[in-house]
Amino acid sequence: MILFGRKHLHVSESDQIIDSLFKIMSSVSSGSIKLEVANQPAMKIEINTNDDQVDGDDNNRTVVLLDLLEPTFFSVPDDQTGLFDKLRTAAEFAQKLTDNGITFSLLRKGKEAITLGEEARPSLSRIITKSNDIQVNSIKESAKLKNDFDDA
Amino acid sequence: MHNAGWKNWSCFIGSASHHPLNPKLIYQYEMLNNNIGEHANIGKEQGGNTRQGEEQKAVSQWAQIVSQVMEKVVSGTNMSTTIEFDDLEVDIPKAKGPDGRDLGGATWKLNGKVVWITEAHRDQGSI
Repeated sequence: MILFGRKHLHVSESDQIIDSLFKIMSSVSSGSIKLEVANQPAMKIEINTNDDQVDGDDNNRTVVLLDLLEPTFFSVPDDQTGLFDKLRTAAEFAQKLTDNGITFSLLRKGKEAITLGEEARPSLSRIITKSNDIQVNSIKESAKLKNDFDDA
Repeated sequence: MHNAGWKNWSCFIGSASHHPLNPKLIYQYEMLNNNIGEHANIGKEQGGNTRQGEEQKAVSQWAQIVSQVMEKVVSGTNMSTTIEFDDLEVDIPKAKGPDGRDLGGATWKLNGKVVWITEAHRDQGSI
């Protein structure tokens, strides 16, 4: 990750952290992980992989659903990046997801907020994000998520 | 930087235009080019250092964000944290051993829970 702007985190081509994350996501073909903190569900990750045959080649398409059941738990009080900075970082991350055939859906308490990567089909959100790889499924849930991260 | 060098060279030609192949002229042009090259290298080095610095800064920023979240999960006092794996299939890619032996690949299936509990204890030495 390279920081070019004042607060905007860039996802570079040879980013070790992101590359490791993609390797992990690509190696998991199915299943789910649940995280409970103090006996309260905090997060659930569901992973599914579909094998598509395109022109005789195997194309693995991985769908990762990340449901933040208790989003305030993941807030970072010291994080000073704004919404647009986050969107710019998300755009670069989403581009890499698409390149790797991965779709990443972010849910808030079971409701879809944002989809990044391969299967994102943006409409109006393209104007804001300037990316074909980010779909804002629900402005309401996305705004709530932002507040959850900021407020705690 | 390059434009400035070109401008200087043009001025020099202007003053010695009656000797277009004057060795002094060629020598000075080469000197100028070398200087431009040096400046370019300096710029590149500075850019590289800046980029490296930015990269380190960014990585530390990511690490900070990750560590803050991890700290909440790991070091909360009097708190239990559970990670539950449900039919999680992990494809382990084929690998080669140190002697070139094929170690093959595998599919791991994970089911179960990992629970850790943190407790705070009063230190007898403290007031």
